[in-house]
Amino acid sequence: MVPEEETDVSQAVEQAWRRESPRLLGALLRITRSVTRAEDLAQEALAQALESWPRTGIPDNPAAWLMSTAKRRAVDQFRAGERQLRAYAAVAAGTEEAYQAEFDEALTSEHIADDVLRLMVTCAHPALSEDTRTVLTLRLVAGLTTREIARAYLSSEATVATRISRAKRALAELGPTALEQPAGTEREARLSAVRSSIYLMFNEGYAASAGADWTRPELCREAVRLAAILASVAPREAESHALLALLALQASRLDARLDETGEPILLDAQDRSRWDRDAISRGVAALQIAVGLGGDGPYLLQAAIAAEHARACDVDGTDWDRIATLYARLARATDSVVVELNRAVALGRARGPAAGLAVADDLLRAPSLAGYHLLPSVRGDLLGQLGRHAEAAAEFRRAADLATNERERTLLQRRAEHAEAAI
Amino acid sequence: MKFMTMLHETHRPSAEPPPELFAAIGALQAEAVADGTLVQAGGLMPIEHGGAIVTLAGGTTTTTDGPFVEAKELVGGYAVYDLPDVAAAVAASEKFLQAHQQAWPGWEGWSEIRALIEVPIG
Repeated sequence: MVPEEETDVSQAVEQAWRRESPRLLGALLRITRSVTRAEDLAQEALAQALESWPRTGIPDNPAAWLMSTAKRRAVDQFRAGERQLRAYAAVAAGTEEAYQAEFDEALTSEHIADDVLRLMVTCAHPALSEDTRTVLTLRLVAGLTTREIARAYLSSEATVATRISRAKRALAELGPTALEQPAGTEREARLSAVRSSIYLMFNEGYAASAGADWTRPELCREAVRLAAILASVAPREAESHALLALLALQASRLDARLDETGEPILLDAQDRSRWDRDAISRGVAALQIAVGLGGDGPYLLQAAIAAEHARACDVDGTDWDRIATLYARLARATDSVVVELNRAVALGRARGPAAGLAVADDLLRAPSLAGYHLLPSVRGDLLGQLGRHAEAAAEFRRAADLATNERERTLLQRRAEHAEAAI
Repeated sequence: MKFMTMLHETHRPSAEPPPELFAAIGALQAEAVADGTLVQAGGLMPIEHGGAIVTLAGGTTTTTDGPFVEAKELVGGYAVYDLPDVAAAVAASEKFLQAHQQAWPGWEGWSEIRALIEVPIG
């Protein structure tokens, strides 16, 4: 058994690493102009930290320690293969002195935000698939190991490792220009890609699409942290603060969404005293920033909806009219039928099940919802409220057949049985 | 150790804060969320949106809706941080006030820092 003290130290080392990792890698990426080289140097610095810190304690300035360790290694490499390295570092550092100076100046405050942002938008490069962007972000920005990423996505380490090395190769083939900070509309598009990659990561953790567990909270926590990093390095973007608000508000309910046996508990039945009030306050604070910046985008509307739920003491005390209105705005902004389905639920609460069902019925014609389990699930709920239990049971059965998550399927089957019993 | 910081405003140069202030405060706030040091944050509505003072004196309680304590002592918002020591809380408040200075020139105020009592159990 590992002594408790040692576990504490290794946890502290891991925490320090995760905190410093994006700044270190961001700076190394700028200096070396290669994702592979930057990551190699960062990994070597980490290996040395893991070796030294448990003995010496974590240094007062871990970032500076890691950077000077990376610098020593980089300078060794520079001497060993100067010509090749000049090609990597061609733009700014032609000589060893200039190269060294770049490391020494790497962690000044004027660079940090730009470096971290560059790292984030690089991970969201359009040449990479959406799944790959998420994995690369977890690896390079969140500082997770290949094993941790594999566990989070129920994938094998080998699969994740292959995906990461392919991504790095794809970026290397694009050349150093791929690592430049995009400007103008390209910048907007890349920031939006970073946000959607973080959003997908959170959703996968919030309602796992496959496997035995309904949620994977560690993935949600990483997504909240990444959204916070993004908002801190691109603070003029209202939608980045709105994304942070949305994720913090959703994460506040993580504990309340599961019972002791790991079964899902839906919003209505959740014990609201188990909602994390601190997380709610952080979410609302970020929402206030987004509103102050004049935002009105899709993440802001979703965060506003989440805030309405967070401030209500129970389902009946919820302002469903306002939520239905926000969903209507969101549906217009995103042109999404899933949002329209959510509006049906809110309208059902605000104006009665028949009003909700009318909206849900219209969605039966939407081809993209044909295999989506939540449409029959919502219709089942509304039909049940109208006393049409036989139709409700049939809808819950259909929903259970379409659900891919085991816990969710069990829940839907149980609702079908309840509806049958009520006929 | 947990510290509460309360922001007191003594002079606001314009009725509404500029967007630059939201960006500057948002950056600091988000950074503290990412580092895991921000426990809670909240803003307080101006007194005209509701508020009261309840006083116990001479054995009776009285409630008044004003006059409030002098305007120069109004608290606009608060935050709770989890930090190693008071010096770190002072540094966080300095950054917060500097953000005001840069993004909303002419703004004046002060930040009050208090350590929270944490009762050790077990």
